[in-house]
This record gives sequence, C-alpha cells and structure tokens, in this order.
Amino acid sequence: MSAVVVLLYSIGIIYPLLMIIIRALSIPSEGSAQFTLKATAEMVKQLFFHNSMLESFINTITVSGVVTAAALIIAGFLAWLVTRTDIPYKHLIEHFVLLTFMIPAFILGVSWIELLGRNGYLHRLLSFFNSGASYNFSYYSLGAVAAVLTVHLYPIVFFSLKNAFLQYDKTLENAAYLSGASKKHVLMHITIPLLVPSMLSIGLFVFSRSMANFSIPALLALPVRKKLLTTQIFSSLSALNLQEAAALSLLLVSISGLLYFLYYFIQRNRNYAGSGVSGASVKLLKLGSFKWPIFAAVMTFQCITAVLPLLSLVVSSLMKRWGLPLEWQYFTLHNYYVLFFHENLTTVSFGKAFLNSVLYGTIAATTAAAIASMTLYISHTGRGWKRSVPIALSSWPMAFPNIVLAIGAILAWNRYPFRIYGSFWVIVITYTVLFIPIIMKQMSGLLERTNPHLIQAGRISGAGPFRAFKDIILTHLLPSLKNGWMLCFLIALREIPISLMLYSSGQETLGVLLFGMQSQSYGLEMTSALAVVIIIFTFSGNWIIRRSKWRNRYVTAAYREAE
Amino acid sequence: MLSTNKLMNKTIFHSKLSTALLIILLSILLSILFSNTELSAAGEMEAGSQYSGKEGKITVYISGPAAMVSKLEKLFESEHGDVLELVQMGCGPLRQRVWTEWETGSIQADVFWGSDPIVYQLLDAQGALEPFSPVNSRFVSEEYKTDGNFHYVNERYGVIIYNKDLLAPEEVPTAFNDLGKEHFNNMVIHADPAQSSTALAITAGLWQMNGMQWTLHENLLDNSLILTRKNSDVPSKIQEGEFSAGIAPQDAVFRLIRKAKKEGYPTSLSISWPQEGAIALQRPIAISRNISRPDKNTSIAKNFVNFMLSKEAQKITADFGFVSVRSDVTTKFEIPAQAKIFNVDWDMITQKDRQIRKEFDELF
Repeated sequence: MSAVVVLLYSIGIIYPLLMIIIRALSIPSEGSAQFTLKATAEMVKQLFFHNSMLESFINTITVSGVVTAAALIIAGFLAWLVTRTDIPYKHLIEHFVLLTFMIPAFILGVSWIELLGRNGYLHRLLSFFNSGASYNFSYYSLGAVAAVLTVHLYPIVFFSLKNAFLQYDKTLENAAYLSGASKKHVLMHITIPLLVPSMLSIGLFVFSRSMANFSIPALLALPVRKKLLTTQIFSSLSALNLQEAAALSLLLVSISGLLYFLYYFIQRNRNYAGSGVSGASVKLLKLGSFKWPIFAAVMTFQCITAVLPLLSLVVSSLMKRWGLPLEWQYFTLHNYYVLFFHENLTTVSFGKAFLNSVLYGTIAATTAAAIASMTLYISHTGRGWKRSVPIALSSWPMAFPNIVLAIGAILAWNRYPFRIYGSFWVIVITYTVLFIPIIMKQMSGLLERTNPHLIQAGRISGAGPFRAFKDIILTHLLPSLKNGWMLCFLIALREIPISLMLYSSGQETLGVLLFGMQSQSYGLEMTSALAVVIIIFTFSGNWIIRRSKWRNRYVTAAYREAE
Repeated sequence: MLSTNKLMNKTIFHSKLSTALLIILLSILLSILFSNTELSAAGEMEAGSQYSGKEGKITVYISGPAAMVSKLEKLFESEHGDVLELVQMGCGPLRQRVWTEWETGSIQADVFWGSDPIVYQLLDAQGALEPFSPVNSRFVSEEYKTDGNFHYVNERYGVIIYNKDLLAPEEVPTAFNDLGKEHFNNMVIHADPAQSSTALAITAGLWQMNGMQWTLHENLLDNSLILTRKNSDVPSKIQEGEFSAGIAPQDAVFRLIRKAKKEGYPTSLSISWPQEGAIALQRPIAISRNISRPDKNTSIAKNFVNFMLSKEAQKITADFGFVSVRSDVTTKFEIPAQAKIFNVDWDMITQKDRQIRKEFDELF
C-alpha cells in the first residue's frame, strides 16, 4: 500500500513540480530547451535582475505583509473580545465572522468595486447628499488588494486564535490575577506571550495564502499596472513566455514552501505555549463603559465587511445593467432567468457548468479522501520512512498556489507518457492534488486521538491490513472524512485558476463562468447574479457541515486554506 | 542507552533521507527524459506527433460573443452533423493557450479562430499551421488575403469609445492623442496588452502610428491610464459610468447598444472615429498542423475554415458588429464617410515582437 501511495505522489506531485523547475531553468535554443549550467545561470540572472520580476516580488511581499499584520490585529482583537471579555452577543460576532468567511475571494473583490467604485453605491450616496462632490478614492490599488485580502483572510485567523485562547492553560492568568497583577499586566505579560506561537504560525499561513491569491490582484491591482507574482505568471503566459511563467512559479513555490515549512515547524512545536486544556474558567475582563461603544464599533466593522458586500451583490444582481440609476424601472429578475435558462450565456450553460463542477468536485474529493486516508493509515501504522515520507509528500501541495498547480499540470500532462491534457481528467487530477492536504488536515487531528493499539489488537485478532484499515481507521475517520469531502466539494464549486487554465470544450466550471461572464456583453449585474447563486450553494454546504454530528475545529481552517 | 537511541534515530533518519532522495532522483531523471523528448518535439520534430481528439469531431478554440458562436455552430452542424467541440475563451487566453500547448507538446485545437495576427505569424514561422487554401477565399477582398497558412475572417476597428453623458460636446476626443489631455486624468481605460491579444495588437498599431515611438502611451500613462483584463470591459465600464473614454474595438459597442435597446434601458455609449485613423484589426483562423490527425478530422477542419468564409457565416459575424472580408456582405454599423482606417504592418510588428514586448514591459 505504501509503495502505491508514494508512486501516486511521485506522479501527481513531484513530477509536475520537477517539470516546472526544468522549464524554468532552461533556455530555449532554436525551438528546443536544454538543461545546461549556462541556461541556469542566465535564468537565475533574469529571475533576480528583471525589473518587473523585482517589482512583482516586492509588491507581493509588501501586500502579504500588510495583510498578515492587519488580519492578526483585527482577528486577534475580536478573538480576545469573545473569549476574554464580557462583550455582549458573542455568538452574533462569531456568526458575522463566519458570514465573511463564506464569501469567495473573487466575489468579495467584485462587491468591493460595486461598493467603492467611481459609479459604486458609496459615490452615489455621497452624490445624493452633495451632487458636486468629487470622488477620488483609489479603489484600484495595492491598498485595495490588501484590504480585500484582509477581509477575506481574517476569519481564519480569528478561528485559529479563538481556539488558542480557549485551549491554553487559563490557570496562569487566574494565578496572575490572584497575585495582584493588573488587567493590562496580565494581557501584556501572560495572554499575548502565550499566543505568540499561534500568531506566528497562523501569520505565516496567512502570508503564504495572500501571496498565492490570483483573483483579487487580477481584479484590483492590474488595472493600475501593479504587478504581483501570481498576476505576473498569468501575464507571462499571455506574452507567450512560458519559461518566465515557470520561473515565477518556481519562485512562488520556493517562498511558499519555505513559509509552509516554518508554519509546519511552529505547528509541531506550539505546545510549549500552553500545556493542554485546562478546565478552569478564566476571569472575564469587564469592559465597563466601553462595552457598548466597542460592540457598536465591532458591529459596524462586520456590517461593512460582511453585510454590505452581500447586499450590494444582491441589489446589483437585480439591475438590468450595473451602473443604471436605482429606480424601479431598471430592476429585474431577468438576470436569474438568463443564468438558469439561457443557453447562450457562454458556449456552456449554467446547468452544464454547475454539473461539471459537481462532477469534478465529487470525483476529486472522493479520490483525495481515499488517498489521504491510506496515507494516514500508513503513517499511523508504519515505521521508518513510511511514517514521514507519505505525509510530507501529501502536505506539499498546500504550499502551492492554484495557478502554479495549473502550470505544473500543463507541463506534465501534455506530453508522453501521461498525455491527458485536454480531457477532464487533468482538472480532476489537479483538484485531487489540491484537496489531499485539505482532507489530511481534517483527519489528522482526529487520528491523533485514535488509540494505535486498536489497530494492533485488530491485526492480532486476525484482520489483514485492508480489513484493519476499513474497520478501524476508516470507522474512526469517517466523520472528519465526510467533512473534508464536503469542504473540497464546496471549493470545487468556486475554484477559478485551475479550471480557467485547464478547461477544454464542454468542461467549463462555475469558476470559469464567473471569471468570464463580463466578456459576453454582460456587466457586473450578471457576475453578481452568479455570485449570489454560488454563495447560496456555499451557505447550504456549510449548513450541512454544521449540522453533521462531528465537526472538528479544523473545518474552517482547512476550508480557508484551499482558497 | 541514550547514545544507542541516538544512533538508532540517526540510522532511521538516514534511511528516510536516502529513500526520499531516491524517489526525487528517479522523478528528476524521468522528468528530464520526458521533457527533453517532448520539448524538442515542439520545435524540431514533426508537429503534433500525438492526436488527442476523437475521430469525427474536431476541437475549435474560438473567441467572440457566445450567441454568435452558437449560431455559427448550429449552421455548420446543420449541414455536417455534430462534428464541433467548441472551446470559447477571450482572445488573450486563446493566444496564451495555443502558444503554451505548442511549446509543451502539441496544440489541442484542430482549428483556432480569434486573437491577433501576430501569434498566427509566429506559429506559422515555426511550422505549427496546416497549409490550406479554402475554396471560398476567392470571394475574399484582395486586402484581406494573406501569404501565410492562416486566413482573415473578419476585421474590426480600434476606436475611441466615450460616455456622452460624462463629456461635454467640446470635450469629446477626436484623436487618440486627445486622451492624454488633463481632463481625462484617471478617466481613460484600455485593455491590458499583457492579458488581451487584441489590446496588444492595438498597442502595436498605436506604436506604429506614432512613428514607432511610445509617446502616446507615455502621455496616457502620465494621465493615469487604467487597464482592464479584457477588451469587452472597456465599453462596459464606460457605459456603466466608471470611466469617460477609452480605446477598444468598435464591435462590442455595437452589441451593447443593441442589447440596451432590446432590454429597454438607456445607454450613453458612443464612438469617436479618431483623426489618425481607426486601427484595423483582423481576426484570423487557422488549422493546426498535426500529422496524427485522422483524415476525416482534417477534412472537417478544412470544411469549417471554408465555411467561415462563406456568405452565410460572414452575414452572422457581420450581424454581431464585425466587418466582413467579403465584398458581398454589408457591414451592419455605420462608418462615417470621413473616417480614416489605419492598417497595421503585421509583418513588421511580428519581426519586432520581442522589441515591442520588451519596451512595452519597461514602459508599463
């Protein structure tokens, strides 16, 4: 079993990555590419001394740094409020965070334009009160990218830090209070220091995911000619420069890989921050007269980041054309009719795109679940390399941006001996590679709590390895396996870069439809209608997950990681 | 005891490491083997040594309005049966995909239509296009005939598009250079040549028009030019009032105005034919060269290319705002009598492709 799993990872993960490396470090000469030292030196020179490459690198690092800092501050403050203070309506705050968390990144970007654009709702509101008011807000900018990505990513930080607050040993804080320490002293010298490993770990993760995002920079930074690494990859492909695209992918993977390694390392060693769960309840900080002003401020922030984007999407989806005055005569349900019943929406109908997303999501999530559970079984029962190599290989794609996975797929699957490019399998395989670490992360938490002696007992009682896997491991993992499967399925409903770069005739997915909607004489009104439908699907899926009997704390984390 | 444990751990670690290295080494060797075989195939060996399609059905990469594509498909298949697999995409992704596929193995599409003449010339120079002369090319006007293994199906014009509600009559730009004026600061929009092949063609045309200088683009950049992902975003965003003017092909304006009339809402979109001349942009079609393609599919591909030059197909494309390459098909929109047309020298642009891209990259 272990050999099969390693072979699958070698073909599905290592092979495409190596194809990227080879392509990046080769210089085409007279139509062919050669792997030479000279070529490598030339390519490395290009990598580090090319103006646009440097610019995109610096922009990427800057934006990711700002997003990480902002997300940590916002989410840290909210997590502290709901776990350590007497702020009212804590569940309401958490529900709002969850609401923000369920809006896909690209859709959040679209609503940003609808709200803050030159003809957006804010400008219209300002013009209503002062018709001569000038409006110079830079809604296309690196700042805009950072703001939208912060809103997009802060919920994952919130859930992570909230868990950290709940899990570390509260007796330390109580002991400090008993010893006469002030609230401020406890916060600065106990609470925050205990959280540092968690903050560092989730911070690295957010940094990595900001860096990997494609759709937001494409929507909000490219209009003002600001380049980031992911958009630069896309532009390189358009400029017929596959080599540069591969080189940029390699750079992105190297940074993401390094960050992921640090993240993994910190995750493994984070226990020193707190020694398990304490049953003691912590003394809640009384906010006193600040309670209601702080609550109002939090609600305002959450309305702006969660409710307004959704509201703007719904209103825009009901307009005959985005940009028309908000008058009854211009409202219509026709966009939804077109979406569901118009066969010329693009060359593929909504129904077909939806079915494709469902089909690819189902096959890929099921395959990923099977491979991930086999990997965990091997690592749980095996010795030596079997304990670490399959786990390390399966986790690796977590560090790859989706656009890099797509580039790897093009390079690997359009040639002998695996010529499957052009068939829907190439999308399914790339989705599977994307989903495996997500499902792994879902299940690993549960497996850690599974007694390894159960398997030994099963084997001693005469069960073979497959029987032991089926009856013991699978039975234990089934709840989280179901959750993981559902999360991956939902991701497939909204995934853009992989589908966009790999789809072929009749293989268009909802993501392809969403990204390409505006080229068909439709404006933001139709993009908004599709966005509303996708969000409804996401809510429904999330509702199913929340209704399921077993829901672990990794659910939300894994969900966000795949974005 | 402790040192024995350390020794065991070290041994296990080395065993893990060597296994992992072995796997990686094997993968590297396999990758190099396959990459060298196939990368050379793209340039030196016979084009398309593998055919991934099905016999009796061809794959067509196509850019253009879905409704138009659908009409063309129905008309062609009414005569030839269910033989087309259409993959619709923007002109930029089409160029990106065709070139990437060519570089990594073989072009998956049997026929591709759309994008700019530059990529067709580059592919043709590398032997990636099937030589073919359609019967209907005898009806094509002389100025639209090509020397290469690709054929022009339509033409459209890069013009100035503006929102008449946002500009006073005296502010309406009449030349491309007007867009560099101060009152257009932060109000001009253009598709990103790094993402849209038509925008790249327009950019190259403007560069040629300005004596192979980037003066116009420098002025536009000084005026905080805004870029969009696609050409179709330009008239859309101007219609929606986000920007007051921009440069893009005229056909989308034609369709947007028609849609607004049909659905009963006002539109303030308008076209200004620039004094320097509207940039003529041809949309080529070609058959990819693939020695493994079944004869039946080659025949379908040739029929399809021939069909695209037929009067019936040309009427459909003209109905969506494109200019026909046939003189017996009339244009559906009005071109002012005084309008000038600027013809781009695609041969020169293709030769200077690298230079243009490098200079453009530095500028933007």
